[in-house]
Amino acid sequence: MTRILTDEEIAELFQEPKQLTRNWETRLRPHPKSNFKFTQRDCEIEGKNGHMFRIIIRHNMINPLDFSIILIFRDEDGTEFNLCRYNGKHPSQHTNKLEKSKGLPDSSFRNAFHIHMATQRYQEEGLNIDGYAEVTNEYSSFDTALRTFVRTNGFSVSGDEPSLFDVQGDPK
Amino acid sequence: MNAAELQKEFKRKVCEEIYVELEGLARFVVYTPFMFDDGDHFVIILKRLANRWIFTDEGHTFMHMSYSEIDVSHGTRKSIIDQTLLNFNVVNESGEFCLEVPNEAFGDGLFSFVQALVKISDIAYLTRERVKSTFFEDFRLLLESRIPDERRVFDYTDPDNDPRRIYTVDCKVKGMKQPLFIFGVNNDAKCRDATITVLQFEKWGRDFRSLSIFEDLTQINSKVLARFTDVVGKQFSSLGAKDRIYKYLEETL
Repeated sequence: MTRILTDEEIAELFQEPKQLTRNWETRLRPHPKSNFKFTQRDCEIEGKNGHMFRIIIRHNMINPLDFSIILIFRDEDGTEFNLCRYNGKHPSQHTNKLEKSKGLPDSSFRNAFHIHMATQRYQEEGLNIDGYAEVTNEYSSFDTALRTFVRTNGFSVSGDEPSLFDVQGDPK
Repeated sequence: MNAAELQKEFKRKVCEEIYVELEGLARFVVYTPFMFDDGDHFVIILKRLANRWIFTDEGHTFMHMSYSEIDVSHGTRKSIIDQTLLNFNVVNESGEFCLEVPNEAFGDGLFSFVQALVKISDIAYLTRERVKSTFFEDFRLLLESRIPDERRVFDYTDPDNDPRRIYTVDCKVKGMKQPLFIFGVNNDAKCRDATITVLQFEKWGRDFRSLSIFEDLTQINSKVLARFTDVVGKQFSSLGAKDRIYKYLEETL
């Protein structure tokens, strides 16, 4: 049975420094996948404390606002845990199942940029670790989402170029 | 609440779960309560193309499934997806699922489309072990359907030369001059084992013919496959070649 990541562990994993190479944008640029309508890219990173992480990127070729940028933690036994998922505005709904089951208001939202986050409480209820999501105004496109993702999850760039993350809005 | 009221209330509650919103030109987002495990709902778009209406997922379903690195392009999962699409008249257009809606029968179309998406997304529950067992189950069923009980031995080993039962033939077909040894091959390891088994039976001087049926030949390492090809007789690339397998068995039996 998969172990449960506590909220403290999750927070520590987010904060753990993760160094990207100077050409990180090139390395994270997704490529088309034959016979599918999305581009993709996967990248592995070792954190400063020795933990292994993966970044998975998917971007829909039909609807450019439909994308997913995922930070994954790989445990020592190979088990993988999604820590967060920066989603685009896929044309459908999201439901926070736990909140809905408790009859809480605003447990669902439609057609909005949103971020899935790992939570201890979802795991304890036998739900997906990243089943909880919140609407975000932090980004409005794939490019701005990627920059927000990199800026807010413990990443730094070798050669130290902090200005790289200060860019607001679309770089185009 | 009487029956009529219940019916009315039931209909109202079910209907309010379905919502259609215009987004773009002749493109409607269809909101439904059906969702993936992570709480994201299926993407369903109703679109007008020239003179016809289609439901499409705009490629989102496969994209969502790819987060978990589920291989939908090969083996049992692919077969299940292909069969599901066929059952619900859904077409896979290079990763985008589309269903044409004839005569503006939007309700029927939506239900078929949702059923297909539910079945396809459920493939995530097929673990590697389950996929493996499905192949061998199918492999066995196919042989049982074509070879009489008294002429086949599953998991055959040579009682004289191999008392420890190390070299296993998945199915031995007897009752002819040369017995037929059939191997089901689902991965590189099994392909190597089958190669060694064939060579060992040759070493013992056994006279036999051999046949291999792959789960998906294209997934086998080329060198491993080359070595196996050198020693095995007939090969079928997958269980999909059923008619040819039947024909071969009929001729051989």
